Amino acid sequence: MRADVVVVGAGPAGLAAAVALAEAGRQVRIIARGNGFTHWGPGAVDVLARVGGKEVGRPLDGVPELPARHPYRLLEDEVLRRAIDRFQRLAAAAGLAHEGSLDQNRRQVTALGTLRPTCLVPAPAARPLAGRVAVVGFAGFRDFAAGLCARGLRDAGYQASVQAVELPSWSHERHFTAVDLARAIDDAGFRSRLADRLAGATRDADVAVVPAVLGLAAGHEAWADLERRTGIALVEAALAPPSVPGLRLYAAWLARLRELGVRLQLGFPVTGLEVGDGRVTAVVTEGASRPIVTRCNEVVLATGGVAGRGIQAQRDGSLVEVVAGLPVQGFADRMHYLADRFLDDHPLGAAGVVVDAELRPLDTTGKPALDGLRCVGSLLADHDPTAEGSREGIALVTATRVAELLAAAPV
Amino acid sequence: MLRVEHTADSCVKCNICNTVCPVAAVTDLFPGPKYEGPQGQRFRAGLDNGSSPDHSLDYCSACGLCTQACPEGVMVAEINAVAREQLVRAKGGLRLRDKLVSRPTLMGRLARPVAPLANVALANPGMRWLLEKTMGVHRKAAMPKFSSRSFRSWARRHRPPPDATRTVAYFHGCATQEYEPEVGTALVRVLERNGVRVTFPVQNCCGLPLVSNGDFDAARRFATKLTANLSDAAGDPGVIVANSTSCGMTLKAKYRELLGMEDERTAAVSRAVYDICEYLAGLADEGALDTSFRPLRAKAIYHPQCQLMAHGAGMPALDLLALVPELEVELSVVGCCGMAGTYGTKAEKYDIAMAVGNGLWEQAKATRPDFIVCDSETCRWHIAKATGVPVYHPVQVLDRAYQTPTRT
Repeated sequence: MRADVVVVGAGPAGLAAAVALAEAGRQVRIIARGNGFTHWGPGAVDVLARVGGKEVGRPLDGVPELPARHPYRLLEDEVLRRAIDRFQRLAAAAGLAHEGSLDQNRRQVTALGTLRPTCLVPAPAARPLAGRVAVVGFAGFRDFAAGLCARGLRDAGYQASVQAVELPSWSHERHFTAVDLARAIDDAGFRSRLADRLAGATRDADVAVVPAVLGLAAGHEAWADLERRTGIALVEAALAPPSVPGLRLYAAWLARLRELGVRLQLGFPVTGLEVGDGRVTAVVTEGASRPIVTRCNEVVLATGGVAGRGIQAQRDGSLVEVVAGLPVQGFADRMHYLADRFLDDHPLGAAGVVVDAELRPLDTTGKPALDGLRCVGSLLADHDPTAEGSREGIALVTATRVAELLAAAPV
Repeated sequence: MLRVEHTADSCVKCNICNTVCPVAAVTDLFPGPKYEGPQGQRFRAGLDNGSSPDHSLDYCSACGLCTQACPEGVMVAEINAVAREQLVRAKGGLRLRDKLVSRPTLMGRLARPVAPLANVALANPGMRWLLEKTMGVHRKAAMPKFSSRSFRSWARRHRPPPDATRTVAYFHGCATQEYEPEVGTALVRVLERNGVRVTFPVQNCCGLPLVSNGDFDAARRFATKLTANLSDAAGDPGVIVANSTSCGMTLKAKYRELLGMEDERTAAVSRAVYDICEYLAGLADEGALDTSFRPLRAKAIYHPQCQLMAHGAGMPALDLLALVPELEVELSVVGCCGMAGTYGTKAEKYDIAMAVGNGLWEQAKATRPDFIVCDSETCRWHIAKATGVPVYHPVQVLDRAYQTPTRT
């Protein structure tokens, strides 16, 4: 098998990098062990929500306070602006307008009734919560408890009431996920019947919070249609996976990759590289019965951090980068696993591969480890995408940067 | 050796598998791979009476898209396959229909002497109605055409060219042998055009239909016989090419994963097996493929069958088709056509199979291709029936583009 550039990983960083590289004229193939963070995250674009545990109003204001080797400090702010522009264009072209800009962080309501700070919010989650807020639960849908969400909103100072809506009759009455419900709402007949019930339940409200399930196949059209039919502002609350807003974005990336002729190969992790004269010559994938070698000119690792399995912990507590065996900056002894809070400040979150400003991974002496190899996204060291609220921003900025670098490189 | 059921421990309950399941998307009869697979496994594990918490798992089509999408390495479809075997065992074995559709060689052999008659019978609506009522084979389900001549009867008379530079063994499987000898002859011509001598080792059904229907004991008997038959060809290291994607897949991995065959002979055979397009793309990578294809002014849809992706070798057929001048190829929009081996032939599952493939039927209406290309035989029959468009194996297209003068 042969490709020009192999992108390893199909999360936001891998998908964005593959699109940008293909648009820059490279012939790209994505090889990934499976789907990624698109299906898990809330479909928003976090750029920088917190620095040192404190919320940041304007993402770029927080950048100078970040550690010197943080990816945002390795790359110029201009790259981030181009990356956000690129994302906004792709999303808008797919009917997935996002509200917001690098000038000000915004809030996205969650199923818990919390308001998570983020930078770009999908339009269906972007209506302001003002006045009387009706939190609407759909009967039988287990991933959204309206009472819990309303309580969170009341704690945050909103005037929130709880409404229950029986779903119109449909094919998945026994058991369903957010994705099943979103597909049902894609159907115009089902949607119109749901709109009648939704309008009834929200008669006395100024705005309604609903679970993020308002359509999947046609971008934000189903949401817009429901707003028209009900005459009320609808705000989608982010849910636990599977994430419908994330799947909409995934579909947009996939459609663009298809137009660009980029192939996506899911199901088998890349387990190693072949190297000749200090340069990557191929990636090796675990095949069904023997390793599959894909020869290529460049490799972009977008394998994610610990959560994405780009980095794995060994029994002795040491951390390894799974594809190239790159050194991981993390912690040396396993007592660090015992941090108090897993998501806020766990040292595993900041573990990663140290890179230079050209996203080349560095060896332990600080020199580029291997020619033809770059790293993007959460795999990078010196940032914690969860604690900082920077995951998609890092993914997009490094994806844009790698495409700009490789577009300039001789093919 | 890690058993497939143990991979359930890696499940983080993220539901990615449920988002890609084409069956759960169209019917409430199957709740989705997560619930049946890693989740259901918690209730099945440790039970030795074969009982299963939920019989809806029979509606899993075994397309395997869940396993491919899972980022945690959970072998969701395989967990379901093992659970289905327990279910079938608990019920005392396969029902008659499933026993028959699981034995394509038997059906082909029985029908061969009376192939034209059998084909007329199978085209008769009354006969199909009867077949549905008595056997549970859906009256509209795609059926292959029985062939009066088997592939091997052609192969026996075939004289290989004297100037071959390499040799491969050909595992043609049952479909080529009994129903589509033309795929086998095209494959041999394409290989010989490239200086590859093709041998035809004695062989039998790989047992895949039995695996998918849940009779692992019977499947293991076929598998043991086949690996014995192919062990010489597996050589050190030999190459065995297969044109049936799923049968090739069975040899590559399912004997080990599902049937628990961990002997060295099975391992050697599995390492030697190449999907034919994977092998040809490998020749192309070495610069050893004759690329002097004649232009083929046509528009085609390529449908990579669900289980093709389980080879982990990407879509080599697309690379090969791209070498044919003027052939326009568009990629199928669905991950599975719905057929999934014998699934789409069953009376209770036919409508699901048609709904699963709907995106492709719509695409064919919109694109109006001259033909569709697909690596897998049962998918080809299903797609041709549903779209009315001819469907070919990639090697048939390559063969045509070579325009080999000596056609048989």
